[in-house]
Amino acid sequence: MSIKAFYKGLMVLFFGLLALALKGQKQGGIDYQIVGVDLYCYVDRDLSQTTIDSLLGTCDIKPEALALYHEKQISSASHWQVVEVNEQQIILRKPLKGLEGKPKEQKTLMEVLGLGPKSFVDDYRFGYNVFSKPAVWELDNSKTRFFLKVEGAKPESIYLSGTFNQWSTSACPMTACDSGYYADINLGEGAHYYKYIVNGHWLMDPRNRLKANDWEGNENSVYFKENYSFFLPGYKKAQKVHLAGSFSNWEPDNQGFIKVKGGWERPCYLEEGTHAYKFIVDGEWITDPTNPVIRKDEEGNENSFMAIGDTFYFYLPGYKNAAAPVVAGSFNDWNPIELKMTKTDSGWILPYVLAPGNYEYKFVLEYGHKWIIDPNNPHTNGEGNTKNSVLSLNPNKHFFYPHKKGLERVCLSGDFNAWPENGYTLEKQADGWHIDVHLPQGKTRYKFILNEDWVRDPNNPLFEPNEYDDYNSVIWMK
Amino acid sequence: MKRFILLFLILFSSFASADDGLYFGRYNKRLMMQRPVPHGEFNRLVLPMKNIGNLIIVEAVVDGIRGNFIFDTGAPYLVLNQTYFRDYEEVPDMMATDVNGNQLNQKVTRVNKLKMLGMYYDNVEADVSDLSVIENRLGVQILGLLGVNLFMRMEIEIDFKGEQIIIYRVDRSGRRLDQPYEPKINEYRIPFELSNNAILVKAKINDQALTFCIDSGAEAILLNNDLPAPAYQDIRIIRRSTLLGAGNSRSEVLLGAIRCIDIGMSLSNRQVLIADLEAIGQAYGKHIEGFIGYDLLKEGSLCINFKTQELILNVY
Repeated sequence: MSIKAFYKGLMVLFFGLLALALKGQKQGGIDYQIVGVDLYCYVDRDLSQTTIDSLLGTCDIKPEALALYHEKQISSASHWQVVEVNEQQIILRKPLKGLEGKPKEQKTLMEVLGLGPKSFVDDYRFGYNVFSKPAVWELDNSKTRFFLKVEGAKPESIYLSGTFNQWSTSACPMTACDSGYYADINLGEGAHYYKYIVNGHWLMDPRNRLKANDWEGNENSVYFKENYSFFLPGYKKAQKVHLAGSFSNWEPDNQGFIKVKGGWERPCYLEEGTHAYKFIVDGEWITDPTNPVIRKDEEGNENSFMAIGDTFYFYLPGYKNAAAPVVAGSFNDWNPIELKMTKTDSGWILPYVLAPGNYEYKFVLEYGHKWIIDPNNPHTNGEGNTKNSVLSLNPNKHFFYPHKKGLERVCLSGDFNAWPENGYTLEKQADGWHIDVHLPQGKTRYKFILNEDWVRDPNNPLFEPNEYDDYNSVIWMK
Repeated sequence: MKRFILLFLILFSSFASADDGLYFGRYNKRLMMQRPVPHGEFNRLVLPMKNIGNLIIVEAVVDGIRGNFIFDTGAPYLVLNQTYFRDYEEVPDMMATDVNGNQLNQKVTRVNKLKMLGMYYDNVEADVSDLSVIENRLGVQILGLLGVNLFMRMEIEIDFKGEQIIIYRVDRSGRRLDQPYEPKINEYRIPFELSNNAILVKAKINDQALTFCIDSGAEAILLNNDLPAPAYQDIRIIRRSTLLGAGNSRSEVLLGAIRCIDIGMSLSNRQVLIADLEAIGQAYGKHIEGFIGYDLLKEGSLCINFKTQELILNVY
């Protein structure tokens, strides 16, 4: 290679690297800078035209008028001027004093920070307790006792606070006993975060080895109200037994089973629904010898299956001469072959265990060529081909709308079903329109849709403004 | 003496022109008169608090309704969330107005009892406002805001790290009745001015003297869009956003990072929001150039003494 070619190559490399470095300073091709008391906006022409047009739209500049704005030095409605237009970039400018809007409340501006709501308890599907000494236990009267050993001077105040009482700092005072303080409360199954408040100070449970971060930078103690116990008989000589399943993404649990008389046991909390699982005995994966329900997965591995919770019976009347229909829904990613129904005298049936919640489903006929809604279910969502039957398991809220002249259809739409345009249809009964729905813990906003009009719940005094200069009804589930 | 001064002010204001209404100069009579008296057997009271989204949440009970309130030094008085207190009756003899005498479209009501652990107030006035935006953003039920006038007869210590607010009864000179304050090595003393219940301090950005409001409800530093040019030199703009409000109104906000702000102590590398704060400042009757809250509170335990009008920051 000649020296000339070598130096030419070096120059190409140098300028190439320089171009890359300069490009790297831009953030997404749109850059803002304050110079003096003016705000400048630098727009990279490498961006897609859609992005550029969208940005110009926020500056009240029509893309086709860009050259005109530049030539005539016109200001847009929001005070932007076009300073420069060339092949590489567009430069816009406006006075800082021209920032739009005069907000009346500083808190509304904080939305820009994106500090949105965080979940208070992670979605635990499986878990169990690890205490160094007994600190939380179940009583015979179905209540749960939280105990805190206190030594030294009697505290002025001591409270129990957690996700079960919305972290109230005063709702649950603790009672003195011989060696400490206790509180007996009603707890639902599942995971609960908690802490003690002693003389105004937050304190984690010193005997609880389980901790969790609530994404607000706080660490909390965790208690699982257990609802199931796995048992493996025999294996007296085994050293370690662990559990893995669909509820743990097939990761073996940390602590392992407890050796008991006759075998090994693992009491735990398990989310309602149907689960696949296996035991791991000294490294060997085995199915549950006491459970006859075994199915193969996609890779041909055999897994044990069990279910927790109430069984719902899907029923399709008729179709006696048809091939076995299938139930497909939001609970199984609309799989058209997985859940085959069983024939009965009057039709077809499928028993299935589901966790509490709202689901949409359909019956699949003719080997996937025909999808129909449940003829016995008055509640649906959607229109035409996208119309599905709606099922609410363990509903905890009843919605009612009274009869009104001219009312042909009443639907319900809200946070719990992602505000569909059509909403869940209510069933027309003698006294009005009804539906039972499962609402999650926390706040739910909703509205009724009467024929096509969106209205507040007339029976609910709680409502708040929405972005359409109207109001949404509000309900809190605890 | 206080009663004499108050009587004098009321008489003087009555000789003002008919247009002035409830106004005396640029001071809101309602703010001047509303300093609720705290009751309870305490000289020192510890309120456990929760941090949610950089805000201070304290539990209180209003007429038997227990719930979360935002502890907000940027709010002049008690504010109730309209969603839950819509049916409270309006107080007919007290209009809500700004400092220029313009009547506000703001409902004012009265609560029989406001209680926070061992402390309570009787017959307290409150604004009723829409707090749904904050509530939806935080994801927890917010019954209202606890504003400055509830604490003006006392000293309050906000301990963010310790997750507690301590309330001290003080004498006329501002000395704690419980135990005298012991100066610490890592403390910063910052004098403040109280203007229409806003806690105002002097701050500096790039040697530019600015008026800031200490607002515990400010999750980031907020700057006005009309500061002198040198104040913006050390700010790098990250993003420009447009917030949509009621009636299709728009607010343009810049999110940036500031190199340094001196508020009696130096704070480095902080997030800032820049917007037109004119309407917000009007509510305080003063040209406010910035708001700061969380960024100061996370540095140390902050004591606010309304008698001596001094902040003491004990750095963690």
